[in-house]
Order: sequence, then structure tokens, then C-alpha cells
Amino acid sequence: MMEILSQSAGLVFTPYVMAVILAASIFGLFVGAIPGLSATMAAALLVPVTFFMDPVPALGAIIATSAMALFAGDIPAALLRMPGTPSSAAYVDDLHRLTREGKIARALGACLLFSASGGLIASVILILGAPLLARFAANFSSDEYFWLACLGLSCAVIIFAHSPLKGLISLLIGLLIATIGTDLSTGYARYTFGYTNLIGGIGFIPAVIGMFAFAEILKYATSTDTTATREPMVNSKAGGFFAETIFLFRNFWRNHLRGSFIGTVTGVLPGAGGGVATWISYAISLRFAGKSKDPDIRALGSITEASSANNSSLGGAWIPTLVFGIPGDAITAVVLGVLLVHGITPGPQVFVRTPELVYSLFIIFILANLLMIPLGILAIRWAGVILRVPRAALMSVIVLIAIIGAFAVNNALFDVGVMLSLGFLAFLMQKYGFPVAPTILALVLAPIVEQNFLMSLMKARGSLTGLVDRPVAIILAIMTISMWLMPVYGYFRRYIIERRKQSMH
Amino acid sequence: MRLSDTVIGCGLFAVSVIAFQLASSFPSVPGMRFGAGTFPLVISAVLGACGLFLAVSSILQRSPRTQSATPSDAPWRLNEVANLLIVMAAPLFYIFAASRVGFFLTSVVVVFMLSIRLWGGLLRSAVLALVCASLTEVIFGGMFGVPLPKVLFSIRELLG
Repeated sequence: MMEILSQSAGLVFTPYVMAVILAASIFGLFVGAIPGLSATMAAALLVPVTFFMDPVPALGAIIATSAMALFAGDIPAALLRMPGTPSSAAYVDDLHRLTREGKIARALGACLLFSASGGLIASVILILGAPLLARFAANFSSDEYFWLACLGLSCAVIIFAHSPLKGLISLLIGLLIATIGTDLSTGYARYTFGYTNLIGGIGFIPAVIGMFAFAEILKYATSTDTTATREPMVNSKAGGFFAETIFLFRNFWRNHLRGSFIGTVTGVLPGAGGGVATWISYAISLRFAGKSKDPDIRALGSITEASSANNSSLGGAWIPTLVFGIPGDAITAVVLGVLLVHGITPGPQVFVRTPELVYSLFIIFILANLLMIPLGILAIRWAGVILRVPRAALMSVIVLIAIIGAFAVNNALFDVGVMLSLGFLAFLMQKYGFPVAPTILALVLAPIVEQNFLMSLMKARGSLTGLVDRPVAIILAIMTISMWLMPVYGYFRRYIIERRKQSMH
Repeated sequence: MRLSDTVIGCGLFAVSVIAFQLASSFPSVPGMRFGAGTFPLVISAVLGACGLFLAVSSILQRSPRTQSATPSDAPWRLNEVANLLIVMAAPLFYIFAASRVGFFLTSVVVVFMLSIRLWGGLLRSAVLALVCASLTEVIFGGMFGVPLPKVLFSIRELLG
């Protein structure tokens, strides 16, 4: 164990890796602080650069970028009342009110401190939980993987999508796109229409860049509020962050622990991510804050709880990604793509074959969250400069980076076309209320679902009983099918209640 | 331009019918009843059912109250369509021009046109385009070794 740890430390604590983590952190803080640019977009834009790195710096860059971007979304939320990332939207009003009243050190201090600490708690849970789960998952066969992937996809659609029907359609679109290309069981080229470029399937990285970066640019370009007047920026010159630490920890440690726990658990569930975690934590904090009459204490409690949940969700999302190869959110879906590009297939075997890589990631998680405090303070101090960078100019630059990023995967112009097409598809989906995250999850999980489904059928000589011939598979199947039945139950329940109301009238 | 759930549902149903039709001709694993078509058949069948359900439920739920404009239903303005088209045209222009005039000149045009449209200002857009194209060529072409086409002009060759 000590030998692996020292090997991992040797991989991380090199000038090159540290410089990459530092640069990625600054990039994440910058992108996260710009309203309209999400943490997922930051990760997607970084992907083309990570091709040219070894796995440890590549994954370190994405961990640092996403952790910093999740926190940095709070900066414009406080100063401009515009959440930098969707995850900061839950507590934007509380944060802005406290900042406007001159309590910036306390308000943004709570965000920074508890984002970092929440991230650290999730890292500890990841470090302790992932190897244990990996040991348990080592005995999984194709049946369990099939149901696990189905459970993940169902979770993304039924629990977290605003409309389960539209979530399911998004998922099916992703699954259908993923079937394009050569089928591994027969070698037959599906839906290629004679195009040789499609034989290898739709590239995941161009798809991610298109759906998370290019689609956001289309959304920005067609949004009517690009010229809308912002709230005047509150002065960000504030000090005394360290002095507030004791006050914040003494008064809000319960909120912090609760938020971190909820964030980690929500992060583990596929399709959820920081946005869902913050809204759940925010709602719970309001319920628990019922007795407090001081609005500042109530607001700080909510900010603490939601900030803790926001960053801890990232660590949580890495657990199923590393252990099962099933991403917990859109960011880890991007991570999965990076891992596959580097020839690493996540799953229990990663913990056996390349433990030094896994422990390097754990070290990077801790480092990134510790680094968040000094860099976060600097970002708050320089917020005035960051927020004055014209978004319109940035968008033009991002288009070029997206084009090169898509091209650089295989040095193929075809991938630029894939990026454009899927970006436009994602833009239309968002415009008409279809969530994009299930599509990306489907692109990642489709091969797992299909290959394990066919493998189980082959083992059972074509019988569907091959999918439920092991105890864990049966439990997972029951959980998945119960989840499928939830919307049906909800529909009939509403129908019966309405009928009763009508008969009473 | 308005697009209701009814139209989207019908469109999805049409796509799923085509996908189902194509998948039904995919071969099976020798000696088995399943194969390359199994998964696409299931997906397209469920997608078709969902598309139909979306269309039907949209028609059934339609009432004067629910028809009021929602953000997704708002008609597109001419300005938004123009912005959409210019951003969509950028990658298409890159695909068409990069191999003919080279990466640098194509990138300059892409960033300049987008900046003029989204940001405004001739001079600052020109400066942004030149700086951005130069930096991306140096970083991706030089440091990362991406084979960006040179053709007419290359900033890396100019810099030696």
C-alpha cells in the first residue's frame, strides 16, 4: 500500500504535473466565473489539450478545472446576481444580497471554504469507498453490468429529468446515435449509408465538444438577453476571509456536513451532478433553518449547505465512473471519454492493474481542493477584471477551439462535421425542453448495455433468463424495473385522485 | 419559427420508423435469433412509442391556457436566426477552406466574422482574429503537433 502511495505521489509531485494542475485550475476559475460558461464546457474545451498528455496530468487537469469552475460560478452570482454555472443558481439571491450589504468576505468566504472542504470530504469518501466497491464489483459479470448501466440510465431519466418522457427521448436519441458504426458481434456496419467515416462510429470527443461547447455558443448567439443590462457589479475588494473561517465553521458545521453528504450521494447517482445536488441541499437547508429568525444566518446556512453539496457532488460522481465505468454526471462522462482515449477502461480491474493511477487521482482530488482556497481568494480579488472580459469576444475564440478540438482527435475534418451536427442537435434539444445530459450518458453507456446484453443472451443460448441468473443481477433488475414503473404509478395515482375529486363534486 | 411537441413527436416517430426498418435487415449472430439489429430494433421501437406518446399527449393537453407562450415556444427573431446561421457557418467554412487556403487564413476569417457579428468593431475584431489564429496555430500545431494545413500561409513558418 505504502509502495503504491509513494509511486502515485511520484507521478503527481513533478514540476510538469503541478504546472498542469495550476494552469488548469486558473483556466477553470476563469471559465467558471464567466456567466454562461459551465464547468462541463470547461472540461469539454480542455479535452483536446489532454490528448497530448500522459493520463495523470490529463486527468489532473480535468479534475482541477471542473472543481475550480464549480466554485467560480459563485463569484458572478455574488457580484452580478448572475450564476456563473447552473450549479450556483440555487442560492444566487442570498449570495448577492449578502454581498450587496457589504458581507462579501462572509458570503463568498462561505462558498470558497465549504466548496473546498466539501470537495475534500467527498475525496475522502471516494478514497475509502471506491476501492471497497471495486472489490465487490470484481465478481460482476455481464448480467450485473447490463443492469447497472440500465439503472444508471433510468436514474438519469426518471429521477432527475424535468420531464421523464423528454428525458427518455433524449436518452433514446443518444442510444440510437451510439449504434452507428460497426457492430462488434457480427462486424456489420450499421446506419453508415456507405460513408466509410461512419464505420468507426460517432466519435465521443467531437460529440462532447459539440453538445457542451458548440451548443452553448449557439444558445448564447440566439439568446435575446445578450444585450440585456446586468445588475451593477458590487465591489469585490474584500479581505478578512481567514478571519471569517472560525465563525463559519463554528456556526455552520452541521449544514456543511449535511450538504457534503447529500452532494456525494447525489453525485454517485448517474445524471444528477452539481446542479441537482445544490437544489436538493438548498431545499433541505431551508427546512432545517425554520427556527432561525436572522435572515443572514438562514442565508449563510443555505449557501454553506449548497456550496458543500456542489463540490462534493464531483467527488461522488467519480465513484461509479472509476468503479463501474458508469459516469455520475456530464463532467465524468467527459472524463470517461478521456480515459478511453488514453487506453484506460474504468472498472474494478483498474484498481488491480493500475492502482498507482487510481491513487494519483485521489491525491490530485485533495490537491485541487486545497489549491482552491488560495486561488479562489485571488479570483475573488480579481473578479472585477475577469468579469469585464467581453463574453461575445470569448465566444468567437471558443468556436475556433471547438473546431480544432474536434479535428485534433483523429486529424479528420469529418469530426468537425460531427461536432457541428451534434452541437446543433443539442441546441435544438435544449430549446425545446429536452435535457442533453441523458444523451451524453447514453453515448457512453450504449456499448456497455449492448455488449453485456448480447453476452448474457449468448451465455443463456438466446434466453432472456440469462439476464437474471445471479442474485446481484436480480436485485439490480428489480431496482431498475421498479424505477421504470415509478412514472406509471405516478400517472395512475394522479388519475385516481382526479377521478375522486370529480366524483366528490 | 415555432415547433410544438406534436411536430417533434411526429418527427421522432418518422425517424424511428426508418431506423426500425433499416435495423430489421441487419444480420443475426450465426445460429442465434439476435445480432446487429436487436439493440437498434428495441431502441427505435421505444423511441417511436415515445414520439407518438409525446405527440398525442401534446394534442390532448392543448388548451388556450397551456398554449400561452413559453420560452421554448417563442418565435425566433431575425437577429437570432442570423447569429445562429453565422455560428453554424463557421465550422462549415473551416471544413471547406482549411485544406484549400490553410489553417491560419481560415481561422482568421472564422474568428473575424464571428467577432464582427457577435462583438462588433472592425479593428478590435481584426486584432482578436490575428492573435487568436496565431496562438492556436502555435499551441496546437507547434506544441501539440496537430497537423494543421499550411497551404498559403503559416505563422509558424514565419516565426521560423
